[in-house]
Amino acid sequence: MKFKNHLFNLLGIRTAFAHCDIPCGIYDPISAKIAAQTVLKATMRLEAVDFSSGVTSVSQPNVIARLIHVKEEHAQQVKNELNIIWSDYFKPEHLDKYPDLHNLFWNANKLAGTTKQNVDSASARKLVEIVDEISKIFWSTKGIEYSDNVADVRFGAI
Amino acid sequence: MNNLLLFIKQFRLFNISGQSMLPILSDGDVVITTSRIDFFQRGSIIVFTHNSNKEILFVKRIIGLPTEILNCNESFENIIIDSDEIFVLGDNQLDSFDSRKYGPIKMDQVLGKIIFRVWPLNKFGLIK
Repeated sequence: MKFKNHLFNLLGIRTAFAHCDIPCGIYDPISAKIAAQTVLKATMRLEAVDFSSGVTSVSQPNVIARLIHVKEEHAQQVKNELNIIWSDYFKPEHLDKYPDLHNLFWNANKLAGTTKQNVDSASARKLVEIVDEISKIFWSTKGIEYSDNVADVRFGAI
Repeated sequence: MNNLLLFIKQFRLFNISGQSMLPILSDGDVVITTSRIDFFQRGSIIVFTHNSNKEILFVKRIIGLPTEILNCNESFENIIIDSDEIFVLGDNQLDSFDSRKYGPIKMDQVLGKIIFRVWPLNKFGLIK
């Protein structure tokens, strides 16, 4: 991509935009990634709740309610963010190069639903992974190799 | 010699970015334009500048010619095209930012009509 840009500059070839939307629409799957990580963290915290001594304080159900609310809200946010990219950014020509694209988005939506219905960190982890797969494809369409090397730091401790 | 230089000067190369001209033009195509105004007609695909920033270029198809009255915007109101203007649309009309949104463009914004594709090689040839 860089070579192509250099060549165009050298030959004086300018870019003419055949815009599909209002110019400067910004798309980035990072919002979906952060929401998916939030789902995973809320799920892991829910799984870690200790009920062995029963409910001894009103703060316990309060914490659980808040974690469930965060999990529900962010799983929906994953769906919303991904579906905008699916419908507005990706085009039929991308499908030629990435024939599994529709399946990835469909599976991500299903997984986001599963993470709402259950308290299952394995599903939430898969959701994070599938958002990463979509991100890889998204950035490769722009000629960039995707990496999220601050993912673990962002996620932090449980 | 001067005539030859003038002839060559009318042609320019442009790289296409975006999908609003699918299926005729795709993202990444490289095309040649001519600046000869007598080649411009309804249906011509043109490259033109943004109305306030001349550095930003767009590609659309001419639909309405100067002095015509059109009715194809979202509010269903008639649009009167001035004598120095044209009305442009993207071919992918369900997904295009064009004169329906920003109105007719001035003729002096037009840089050229796309006549030939040089890249990709499997689509090399005239563009009608």
